[in-house]
Amino acid sequence: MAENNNVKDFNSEIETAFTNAWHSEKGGDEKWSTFLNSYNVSPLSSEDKEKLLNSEMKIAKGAFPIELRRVYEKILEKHLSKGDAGVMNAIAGFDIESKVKEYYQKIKPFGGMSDIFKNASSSLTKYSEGMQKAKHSTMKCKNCGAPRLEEMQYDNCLFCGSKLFEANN
Amino acid sequence: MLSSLFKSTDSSSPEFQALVTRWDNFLAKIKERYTEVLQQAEEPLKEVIGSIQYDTVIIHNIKTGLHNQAVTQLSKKVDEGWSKMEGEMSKLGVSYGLITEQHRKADAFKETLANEFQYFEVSLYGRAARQILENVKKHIDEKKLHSCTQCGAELPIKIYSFMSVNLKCESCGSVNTYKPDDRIRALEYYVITHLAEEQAFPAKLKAKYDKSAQKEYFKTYYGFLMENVPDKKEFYEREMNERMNNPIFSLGF
Repeated sequence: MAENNNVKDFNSEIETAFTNAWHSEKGGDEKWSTFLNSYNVSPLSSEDKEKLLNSEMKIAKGAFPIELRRVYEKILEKHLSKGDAGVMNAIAGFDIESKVKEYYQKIKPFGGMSDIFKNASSSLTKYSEGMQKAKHSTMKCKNCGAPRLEEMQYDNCLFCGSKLFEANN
Repeated sequence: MLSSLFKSTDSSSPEFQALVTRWDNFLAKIKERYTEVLQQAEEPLKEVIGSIQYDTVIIHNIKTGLHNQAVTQLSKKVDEGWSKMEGEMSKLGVSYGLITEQHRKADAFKETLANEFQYFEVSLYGRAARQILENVKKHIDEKKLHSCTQCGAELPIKIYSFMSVNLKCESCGSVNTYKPDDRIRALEYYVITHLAEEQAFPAKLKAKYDKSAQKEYFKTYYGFLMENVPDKKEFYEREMNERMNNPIFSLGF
């Protein structure tokens, strides 16, 4: 069955908007503004862009997600007015939220590196804490206090005959 | 009809050449990304190495994360890229031989990534090990005298012992037990094994393609351990001989 041309156009416009936003310079560029104008969407003001660029939501490239969202709204509006059943189905299946989120995943800065170091930081000194200094001692008979006289002496005290090591029973 | 079914694009066709260029560029980009990941890690790594104390656990954790980013993820991308490329080559009617030739590039590339990362890992542990050694040296009083607990006579205790030792006092005959500082005992695992690996690594790389170099690797690795952990010389010598003579250990290369 041949694909409905209106559906094809709808999908193609959605993808073109996504690609244009993604390929634009950080915060948008001339080409992106022209694209926005073609949908009667006004680009964000320089002050708003400045505010967003300095916000916690960092981007590494591409236009701001809100501008892409506005283009999507225009595309939906345009295709809804056609009243085509196929397009209506396509629109019903189109989730603008997840598409904008998908776009943000593409333009956000690579955060893997800081995560790696952040996760590992808890183990920086964890295994170095509590290390004991050298110890030096002599095993002595608990009964008479005589020191052990042979390295391999693990049985009885050579002086009084008591057991040198007590077994844990 | 038959000729169109069985036609195959030869290596000189411009369409095939364009795909090969695209494929090569793709691999070059992945390599760029690999270098970028390790470059980005350099500054924070310097900071971490400057702050470690007596163990390399944090290095292990960071290394695992970096391996995932630089080798596992990027190798996965190579496989995904190849799957698309293979589809396009098949559509074009490229022969099986030519497709295989391009696929080999992916395998060789992934192997290079893995080898380069192994080199990075060994050097990283080496850097951390040298820092830990310095920290331990600062902490240990090498001139400290040890006297017998019973008669006070001086005992010939080696500060850099890696396990507890029993020493019989030459003066009174009492047995003194010396438990080395935990930091020194930890050197064996956190420092000396890593420095041994660093020294033996060129032989390990060689051994991947030349089985006869495996013995050279084991000799260098265990030779270093025997020299620097003399308390356990016999143990390491036994391990070395076992690895050199038991073919099962050659499988790890």
